[in-house]
Amino acid sequence: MYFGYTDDEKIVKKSVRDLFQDKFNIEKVRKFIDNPEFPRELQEQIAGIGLIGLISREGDKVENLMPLLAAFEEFGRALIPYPLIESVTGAYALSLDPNQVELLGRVMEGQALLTVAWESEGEPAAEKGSDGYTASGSFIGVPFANAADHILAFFTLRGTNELAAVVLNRDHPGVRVSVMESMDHTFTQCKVDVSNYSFTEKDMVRTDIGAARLKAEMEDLAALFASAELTGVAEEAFNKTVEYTKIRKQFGQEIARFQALKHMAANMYVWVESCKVAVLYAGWAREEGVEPETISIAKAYASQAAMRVTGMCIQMHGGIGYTWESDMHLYFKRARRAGSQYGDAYLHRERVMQHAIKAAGL
Amino acid sequence: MDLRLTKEQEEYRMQAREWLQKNIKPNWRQQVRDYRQYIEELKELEYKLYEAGYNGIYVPKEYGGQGLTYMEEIIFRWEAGRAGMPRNVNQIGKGLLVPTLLSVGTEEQKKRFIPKVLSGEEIWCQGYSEPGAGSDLAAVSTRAVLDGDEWVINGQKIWTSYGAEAHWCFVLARTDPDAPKHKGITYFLVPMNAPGITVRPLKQMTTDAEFCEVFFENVRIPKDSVVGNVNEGWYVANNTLGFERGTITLKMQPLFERSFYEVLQMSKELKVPGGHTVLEDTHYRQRLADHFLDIAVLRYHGLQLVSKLLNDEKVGAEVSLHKLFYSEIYQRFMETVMDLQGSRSTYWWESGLEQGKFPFEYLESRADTIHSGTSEIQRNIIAERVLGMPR
Repeated sequence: MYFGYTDDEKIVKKSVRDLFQDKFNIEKVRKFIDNPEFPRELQEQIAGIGLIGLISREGDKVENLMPLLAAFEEFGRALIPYPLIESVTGAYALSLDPNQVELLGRVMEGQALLTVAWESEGEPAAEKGSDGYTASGSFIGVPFANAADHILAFFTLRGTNELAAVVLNRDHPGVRVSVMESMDHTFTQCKVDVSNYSFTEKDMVRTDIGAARLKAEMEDLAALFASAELTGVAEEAFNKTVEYTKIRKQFGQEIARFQALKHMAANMYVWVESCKVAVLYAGWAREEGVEPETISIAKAYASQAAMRVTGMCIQMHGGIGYTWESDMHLYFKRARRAGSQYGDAYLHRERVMQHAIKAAGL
Repeated sequence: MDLRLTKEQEEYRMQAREWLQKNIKPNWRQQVRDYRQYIEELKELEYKLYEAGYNGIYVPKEYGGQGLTYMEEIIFRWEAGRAGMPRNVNQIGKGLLVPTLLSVGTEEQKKRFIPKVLSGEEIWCQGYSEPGAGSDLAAVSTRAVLDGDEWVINGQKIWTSYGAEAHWCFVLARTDPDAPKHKGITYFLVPMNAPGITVRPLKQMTTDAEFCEVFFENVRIPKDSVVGNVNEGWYVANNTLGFERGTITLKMQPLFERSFYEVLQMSKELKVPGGHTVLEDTHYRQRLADHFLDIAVLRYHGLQLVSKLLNDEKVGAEVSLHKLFYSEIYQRFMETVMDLQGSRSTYWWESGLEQGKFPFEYLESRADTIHSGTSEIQRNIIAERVLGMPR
């Protein structure tokens, strides 16, 4: 019996942490905020450590999930502006279709940037014609669609109830991408309008499990990764805040000596530690293909906890915490964004409840 | 991560489950209205547990235990919680005295005391808190003075759980009033029938009288009734309880889970003022889901703690996290359970829903954030010892 990251997984965690500290520290994040040009250099570096295409589906199980979760904690900690959740889950989808092996290779090697359109406006649909398909529809919040080479999106096939997973080429004339204005400056999100986009079956991701199941599995994995990301965001903001209280003086002493702050910090510690164990457990369960509700437990918990913790970090900093100069707002905003996307706490709580009611036989 | 039980552990679990099903009355307190009778039944349970080999599972055989590992002990606690095992009448003996003696007791003390704790023959209570020493436990002023071959104890203890049932008490008393407060305390083993001891039960807000005041007036005990060294009682009390401190609450998690499902069952019938059932109500669905999250996360914390103990990793202030977490989430859960019963929430016994189990537990949940170190003390420990925030 062992609960926690193994030594090997800890090594992965450390190497990802070192990579981000080395190549994309908070100053770089700040530069990105001032000039939000997609950091291309990250594409090769992230591919280089082998995070994309790492997991594989084995029936109900998923292999190699734990080291990836460790990496996602570091991704959140460093506030990396990158569609990492999308690249990883997109590659997972491609890996299930032997006809997509060429694209998968390019995505894994960092030659092509792949993102996923999670949220649509209305119902995007595709129509079958004599020599292929035509798709139209709008998507919002698509991470880094402005920089991506490909966008994986789902369309309903007209005349059927079936979904189709389609790999869109971003530079196709039928794809219009516009950057949305978001308070989370560390993460670019776009509106993607698709009109009369013609494609053939070789542009579709066709798997044994069908597109609807594929979408559900991708969303589940994304929620799990986002939980790990949120954990990293909360932990980093929290660690920085505790250190700040040991330096900042008021009434002639370090504010860390005040019990009011100690008790806030202890509560925050409990939340952060709780996020960590919830992510670990959900990761283990997903690897093993058991207790599927644990991903919703992790996401609902981590969403709430990260929002609360980062908010309390601002409070503990006092006036400086409300400034642009302080980094606290970056964590606070990232927590709000990742917490409310990939299924917000409300949605995942409802799923947890549906599970519990079923488990109770009611 | 490796959370699977071995085949043998799984078998042990199923055996325990079967035994518990036969011997544990779910919602025991609600089924036995008379408090005295309830306590007698709990004492009877101790004998049964011992005979079945479920007292002192990890304790070496030479001291009356089963000589198994922590893993079996933990499995049993999980199953006990799952079966709805009530608070234990000899919890103090099994949970605190036994591990303390195993860790720092003399061979003679281990042989004399541990077997009788496990067999249920001797119930123990804890002489720690005093009217002037609650959260500031090291301020105890009960005095022990050596007079020839005997210690003479004078003072008063309070919140002594099961003091009226106990045969023995372990007592923290001041033996060096001139030393710094943590360094002048000694840990004594005192028979409750010694002349000069008076026990006065205290009625609690639940109407039960589990805890007591204990008065010591020139109580004389033999010189060798000390555990560890004289003046090192603070160390004995605080630094030898790694395993127990961490695992004493493990059975709480499955108990909460059990309660959660009972609440769901109740919520299917109960109506909110609007007319639909609690279970159909979005507000309560969201709140109940939150408690489900808390209870799940408590399980994960427990697993992590168990993993550290089994793999000989250092366990420190995690124990404070565990105590703080379980008691706080339980209290919040009980608040929701009362809320969803609306105007019927305060009726209990025959007049209450589920025989008033939840109003009773609602009241009990107020104790959990106070006993064994208040939530505020646990937060201080976390802030100072884990986060390094200065005193």
